[in-house]
Amino acid sequence: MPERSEIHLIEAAIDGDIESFGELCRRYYAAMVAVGYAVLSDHQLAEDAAQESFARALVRIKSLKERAKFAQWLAAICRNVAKDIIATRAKQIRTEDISQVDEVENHDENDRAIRRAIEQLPESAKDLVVLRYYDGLSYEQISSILGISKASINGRLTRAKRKMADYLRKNGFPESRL
Amino acid sequence: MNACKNNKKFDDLIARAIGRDRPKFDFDKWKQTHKKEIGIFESQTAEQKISRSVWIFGIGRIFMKSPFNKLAGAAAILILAFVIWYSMNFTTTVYALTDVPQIIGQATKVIHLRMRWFSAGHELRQEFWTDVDKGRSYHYYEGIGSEEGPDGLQTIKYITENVFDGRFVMKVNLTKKTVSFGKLLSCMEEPMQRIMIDRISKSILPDIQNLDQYTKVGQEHIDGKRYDIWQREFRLVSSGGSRSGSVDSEYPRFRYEYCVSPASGDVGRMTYWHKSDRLKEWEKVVETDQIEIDAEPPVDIFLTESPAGYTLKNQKATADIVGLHLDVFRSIQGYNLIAPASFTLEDGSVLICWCGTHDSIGSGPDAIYENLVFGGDLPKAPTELFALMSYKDRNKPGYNIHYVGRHLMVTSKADCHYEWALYIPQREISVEGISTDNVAFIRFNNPKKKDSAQEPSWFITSFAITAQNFSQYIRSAIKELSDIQVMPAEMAYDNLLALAKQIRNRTDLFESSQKAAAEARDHIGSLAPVKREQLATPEQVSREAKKLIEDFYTAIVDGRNVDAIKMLKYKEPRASRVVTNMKTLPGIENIKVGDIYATEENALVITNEFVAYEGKSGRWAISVLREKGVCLIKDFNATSTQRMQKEIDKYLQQFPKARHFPEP
Repeated sequence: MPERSEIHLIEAAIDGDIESFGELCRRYYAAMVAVGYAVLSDHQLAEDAAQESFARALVRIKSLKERAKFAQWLAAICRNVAKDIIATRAKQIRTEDISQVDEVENHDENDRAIRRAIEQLPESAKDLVVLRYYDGLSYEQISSILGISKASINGRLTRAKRKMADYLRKNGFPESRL
Repeated sequence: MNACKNNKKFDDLIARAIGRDRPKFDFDKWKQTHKKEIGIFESQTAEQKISRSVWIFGIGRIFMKSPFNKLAGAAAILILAFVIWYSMNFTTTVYALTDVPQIIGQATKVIHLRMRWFSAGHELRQEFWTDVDKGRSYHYYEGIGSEEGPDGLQTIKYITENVFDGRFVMKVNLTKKTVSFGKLLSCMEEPMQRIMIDRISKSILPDIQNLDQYTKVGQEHIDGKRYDIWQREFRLVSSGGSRSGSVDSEYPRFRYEYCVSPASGDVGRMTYWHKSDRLKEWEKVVETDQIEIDAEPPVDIFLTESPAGYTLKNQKATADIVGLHLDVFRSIQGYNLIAPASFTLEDGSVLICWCGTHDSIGSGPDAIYENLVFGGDLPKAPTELFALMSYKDRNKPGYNIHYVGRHLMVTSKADCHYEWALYIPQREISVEGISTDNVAFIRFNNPKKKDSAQEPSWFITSFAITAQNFSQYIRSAIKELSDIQVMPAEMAYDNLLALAKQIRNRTDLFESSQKAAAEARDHIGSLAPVKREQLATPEQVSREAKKLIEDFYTAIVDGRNVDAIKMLKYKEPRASRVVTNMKTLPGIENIKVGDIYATEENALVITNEFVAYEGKSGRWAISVLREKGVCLIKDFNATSTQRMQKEIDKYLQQFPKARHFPEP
C-alpha cells in the first residue's frame, strides 16, 4: 500500500480519523522524543513527554489552522509538556535524587561531558543538536519541526558544535578526541 | 576550534552521548492509556460532523450558539414545518406550499417539541416551546463539551436554557448555575415578532417544496398506530474556497425520515441520520419523541426571571444588546461582535449596525473610527464584520453571492463605537418575505495579537425595510445607539441604493473581499439532495441484482459480448478477458440466480450449483454494486457449495444489516 502523504493524514485526523492520527504519531515519535530530550536530558522522561504531547495534540488538532506547520506545532506542544514535567519534578524530587539517577545510568565520563556541553547551549541550538544527533533527522525534517530554513540549519549547527567544543576544551576534554 | 565542522569523530561522540536506539511507538498501547483524550476527540468529531451538516439546513438561528445547538435547532425547525404542514393539509401536497407561511402565522400558537440527539455515545435531550403568535420561545438543551479539570481536559455534560420573552433573552447555564441577559433594541421588537413566524416558514420551505421528492419506503407501527415512512437523502457539498476547492462527494450522506400517519397526517416520529461512507451503517443523529401542536405551555415558561441561587453575569439593565439572532458572537480568543440592528433594502443590500470588540481593548482606539469616508472602507475594529454571503444560494458551488461591506457612519454610546455598514451583493437581489439570512464573515484585527482567523460562524438575519419605513427604523435605532442621536443627511434610503449601484461596478472590491473570505468559505458545507433514482431499498437492489446477473449470463450465452461487458464494473482489458473466459465455462447455460443478500447499495448474489470443468461443480458468489442508480457486477468469486457459507459470512460481517432474499 502506498504511504499516505502527511497532509492527507493531517486532514484525515482533523476529520476524526484516529488511525491517521496514530500514523502521524508513529512518524513523529522519535523526533518528539528528541525534542523532549533536549529539554529533559532523560530518555524515559522524553518518551513520556512525547506520548503526553500526542494526547494534548489529539484534543487540539481540530483547531490546527496551518496544516503545513503540523510538525512545528507538535514540537511546540512537546516542548511545553517537557517543561511541565520539569516543573512537576522540581516539586517532587530533590537535586540529590536526580544525581543518583544519573549515576545509576552509568554513562562514561566522555558522554557526560558531551551532554553537559549540550546542556549549556541556548535552547534553540540545543533542539537542533539533539534532533540532528538523537534521531539522525534530515535537514528537511528538522526544518519542518523547528520552522527554520535548511540553509540556516547548517550554519546554526556548525556554530552550536563550535560552542560545544569550546566548552569541552575549557573543561579539560582531551583535544585529541574532538 | 575548526575541527568541529564536518568532523565525523566529533559527530559520533555527540550521537553516542545523547543517542540510543530509535524509540518505537505502539499506538494501540497508547490508546489504552489515553482513553479520556480519545473520548474527547470522538466527541469533537461528532460535533464537527454535526456542525458541518448544519449549514445545510440553514434553518433556525435563535438558539444556535454552539454547533450542537445549530443542528438540533435546524432539525427542530424542519420538524416543526412538517408537523404544521402535515397537520394542516396532509391530503394535498401542492396546494399548501405557498400558503405555509400564512398558515403558520395564522393558525399556530405554541408548538412543543421534545427530541433526543446522539453524540459520541451520549444520549442527550432537547426541548422547544415556540410561541409563534407572541414571538416568544424556550429552549432546553443538553450538550457535551470539554473543559480543563484537575486531571487535564475532561468531557462534561452541560445543560442550558434560553428563554426569550419578546424583548429580553435569558441564558441560563444549569450546570454552572449562572444567568446572563441579552436584549433587543426596542425598535427591533416588532421585526423580531414578525420574523419569528417568517423564520420558521421560510427556513423550511425549501424542503417542503420538495415533498414530492420524498420516497415512501415502508410502514411502521408506533404505539399501535400505523405510519408510512418517508425518506429523502442528501450528500454533502461545499461552497468551495481556496484551500480544497469545491467539495462534491457522494459521501457523507444525510437522511431525513418522517413517519406520517396516512389516516390522520400525524407525524409520529422524525429522525435525522448520518452515514460517513458507503461501508458504514447509518447512525441516528436526532430523533423526536414528542410533537404537540397548539400545546399548552407550562405556566411562566416564557418568563425571564432569574432562578434563585444562580449567579447573575449581568442584569437586565446591563444586558448585552442582541440582534434578531438573539446572540452575541464570542470567540475563544476574546473577540466579540454584536449586531443590534440589521435591515435589508429593496435591492438586496443589507444595512448592519455592529460593534466589534476585544476583551483587552474594547472597540479599540478612537483613531480607528476617524477619517472614515461614506462608501469607503470599513473601520479596522478589533472584530470586523467584513463581508456577507447569501445563505439561500449556498447549495450552488461557485454561485454564492458575496456582499462587500462599505462604511456609512459611526455612532458611539457607552464606550462602544457602532459601525453602520452597507453590505452590497454582486447583483441586485429581489427580497422575498420579510427577512433575509446571511452568513457573516468576521475577521480579527487586534494590533496587539496575531490572531487573524476568520470564521463563517455567524448568521445575520435582517428585516426587510422600504423607502417608506426606512427613516422610522433607522432613526429609532440611531437614537438608541448614539449619544448624539442625530441622523446624518447621508443616511437616506435613496443615497444607500445609489451607493450600492456604484459599488456593484467595482469588481476589484468584490475580488479582494472574496479572496479574504475564501478560507472561511471553505468550511461551509451544505447538502444537495441525492436523486431519487439513485436510492433504492434492499428489495429493489435485490431485484435489480437478480435481473443484472440473469441478463449477463443470457448475453454471454447469446454471444453478445459488448452487452455483457457493459454490465461489469471492471475496466478493459480485464472486462473483455472475464467475458471471454466466462464463455468457455461448460455449464454456463445452466447458471441460475439463487439466494441474494442486499443492502441499499450492494448485493451478493449466489448462483445455483453447476458443473464446470472436469465434472467439478461449484457456485458463483457475485458482488453487485449499485452506483448512481445503476447496478453493475463488481466481482465474481467461484467456490464450492460447502465453502459458500464463508463467503456469505464475510459479506454479512461487512454489511450486518443486509437483508436475505432466499431463492424463490
